[in-house]
Amino acid sequence: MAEWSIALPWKGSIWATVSRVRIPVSPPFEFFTFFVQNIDIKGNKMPDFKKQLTTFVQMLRNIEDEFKLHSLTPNEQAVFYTILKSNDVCNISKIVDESGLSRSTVYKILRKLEDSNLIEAFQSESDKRESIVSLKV
Amino acid sequence: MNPVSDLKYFLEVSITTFVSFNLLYVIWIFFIISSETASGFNGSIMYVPHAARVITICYFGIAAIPALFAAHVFCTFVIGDAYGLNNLLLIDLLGTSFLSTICVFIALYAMAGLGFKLKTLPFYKFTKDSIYLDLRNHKHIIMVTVFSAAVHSLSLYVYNSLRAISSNPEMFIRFFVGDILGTLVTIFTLSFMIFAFFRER
Repeated sequence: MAEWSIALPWKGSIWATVSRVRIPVSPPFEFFTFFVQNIDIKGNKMPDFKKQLTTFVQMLRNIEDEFKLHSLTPNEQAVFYTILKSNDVCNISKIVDESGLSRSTVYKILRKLEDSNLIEAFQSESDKRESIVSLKV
Repeated sequence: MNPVSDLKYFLEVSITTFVSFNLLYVIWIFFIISSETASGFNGSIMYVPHAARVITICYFGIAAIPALFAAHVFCTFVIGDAYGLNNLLLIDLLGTSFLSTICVFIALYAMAGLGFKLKTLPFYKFTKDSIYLDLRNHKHIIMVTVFSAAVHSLSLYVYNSLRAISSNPEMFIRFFVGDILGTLVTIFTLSFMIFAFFRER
């Protein structure tokens, strides 16, 4: 009687050669590598920390653009700050002197600021040729 | 994959995540919680640290998860405890921290199921039909915020009910609104700060 309960019935049923296909041993679990397997914005396999931060800052700048936080050009800002500095009212000659811009540029900028509802201009009572500018805010 | 660069990247992400979450938690606890605890605490109406969850998971992917979980446990156990906010058992502290950590992750996979995919997340295939979330677009980040706030508030409400911590529906609403408001306030404040301090004149 065979020692094993499921003994092979005849010797020929034993394979002469075993399969050469071997299942490889699974690689060791690497904690850091597992968590760094993401793909960056451009589809590269290795993510770049600095690029990811740059993308974040870019997103924040897009909010700026969306809300038009920097809609005033540097020249417009110069004119606006000149008016802001003069406590109450300010005439155009003073803005030209202090901002260092040409008179025509200042006129163009004042018209734009007036359209944006930031300033108001009215005629001077003492000198009818001069315009007085004040902030509307 | 180079293990050294992997480790370097992992450490960079972990430190950034841990510090940013702690920073926002401290700001939240100083400026907001003092006005809310007077009438009993049922969840903050403006939970600022949710921004750290959304931003780190969106931009760094799963590399941020361990540090985010550690930051949750540390902040609740150390800082929250000092202000009398931590009345949870250790097992519940770990459970709620885990749910809070993975809420953005779950929300992103739910969004992927709807067709909006994010390139920084692994485990799903990209096809030509996939709509990618653009991390440069703040509207996409806000969409992730809303989804993650929903997942976060719902999962915590279920957890709290099952563990008999609280079954107050007000907490669910306050968590949902608080997460969205807190993230929006943080993102917009950062944007204004960049404009105010770093924009050349």
